[in-house]
Amino acid sequence: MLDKKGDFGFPFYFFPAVTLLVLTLVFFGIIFFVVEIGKSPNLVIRSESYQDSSKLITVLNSHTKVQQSGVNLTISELISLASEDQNYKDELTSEIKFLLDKLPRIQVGETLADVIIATPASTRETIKEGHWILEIKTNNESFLNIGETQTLANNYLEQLIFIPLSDGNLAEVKLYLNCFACKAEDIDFIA
Amino acid sequence: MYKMNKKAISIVTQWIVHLVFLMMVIAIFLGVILKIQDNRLHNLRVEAREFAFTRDMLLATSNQISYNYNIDNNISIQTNNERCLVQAKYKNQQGVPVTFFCSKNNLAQLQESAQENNIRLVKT
Amino acid sequence: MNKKGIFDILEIGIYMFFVIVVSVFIFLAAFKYLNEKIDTTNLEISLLTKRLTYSDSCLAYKDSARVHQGTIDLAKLNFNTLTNCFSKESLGYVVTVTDIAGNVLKSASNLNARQEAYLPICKNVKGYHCIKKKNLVQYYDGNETKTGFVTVEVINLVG
Repeated sequence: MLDKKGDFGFPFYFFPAVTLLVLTLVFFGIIFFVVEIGKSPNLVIRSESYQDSSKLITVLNSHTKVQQSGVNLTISELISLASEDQNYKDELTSEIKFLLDKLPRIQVGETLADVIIATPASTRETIKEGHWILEIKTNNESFLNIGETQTLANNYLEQLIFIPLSDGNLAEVKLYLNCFACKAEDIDFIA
Repeated sequence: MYKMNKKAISIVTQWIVHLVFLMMVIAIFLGVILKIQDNRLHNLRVEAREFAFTRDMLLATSNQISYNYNIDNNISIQTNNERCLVQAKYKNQQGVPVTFFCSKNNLAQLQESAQENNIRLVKT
Repeated sequence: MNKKGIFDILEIGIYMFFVIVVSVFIFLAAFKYLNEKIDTTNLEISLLTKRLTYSDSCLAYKDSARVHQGTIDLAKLNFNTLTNCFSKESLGYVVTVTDIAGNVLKSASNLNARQEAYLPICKNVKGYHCIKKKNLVQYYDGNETKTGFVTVEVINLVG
């Protein structure tokens, strides 16, 4: 709105407009270049796509301290035994817990979000680490659930196997990672 | 006839100038979006890697296996068996192909035969 | 030029400046998106581990009955087996098997001289990406099958 005499309104709209522009550029600059929200979704062919049930198979084939006829039973054999005799449930739980602790964990690091929200390190670790959960169902009913789930957490890397029990039925065994604030790259690393 | 005076022309001209600049920014933005949607180089890079990884996983089995790998109509894939180098390029374009190394296994054979829209991989 | 003409040029100049600033920003964001590197080292180490543990031409334990996929035969873990079963020009790797307590049982690699030199200082070497991945696995020690870990450390030429 310039005329011969100059624009008297110029200082009133120019500086706020430029400030608004700069703030917009800084905001979107942080979004695109720092937080990288615009990252191409097709960028990485995820390890998760090539995932199989190897972790669960290894857990089920692992030998336990429980012996029968002088032979150490595997986890899958102990599940079958525990489904008949509930006294073995505690031992089965401790053996599985021992193995779940050995499965790969997500490495906790500090992110921009942590800095902004000022999350204490101990809380960050609990939230971000994720927990491996093993669920066993027999006759469509829950038989054993090992591991802690977190509220509002998502499940990743799910693996499912059916194993035969000595009474002729099948037990459904499911293993998955339960995590609240895990990044896709971290999940991919342990897939 | 209605005639515009100098002041009206001045105001209209300024609005037109504003619109022109706005259109320039919008045109750049739309052009960039179109380019992103058709990222031809990226598609070639992904195709070369997917094919190399498929080959790698077929060699992981101990049994005989055959697999039909589907590819885009426009893309051709060739493998240099000596170096195990996968080369992907667009069929109707000249130029340097996108390459990616696959893994060699001296103890197993993987045969490739290219068909119309797919490549048949057979592990013996 | 009169005073009004000068003001018009200044006005157009200011507008052009801001248009250029915004356009450059859009280009930078698009350029970053289009030219992002595809780093598949994570996936490659995952596929390598599966190949090593599933294929009997690699490390998988084979008895008279069948191939035990997911069980490593320690006797097979050596340079010759690794080089014959999985070799890639851009990638070198070290395979280490440990027991459940973390004690090293056996280790072998297929690294060439350059990869062996670069591996310990990988973070500071441009164009190389190194990753170490540990998996729960079964291994056969000649007598029986036990549960342990396989750690695969990879040095990958990406740049």
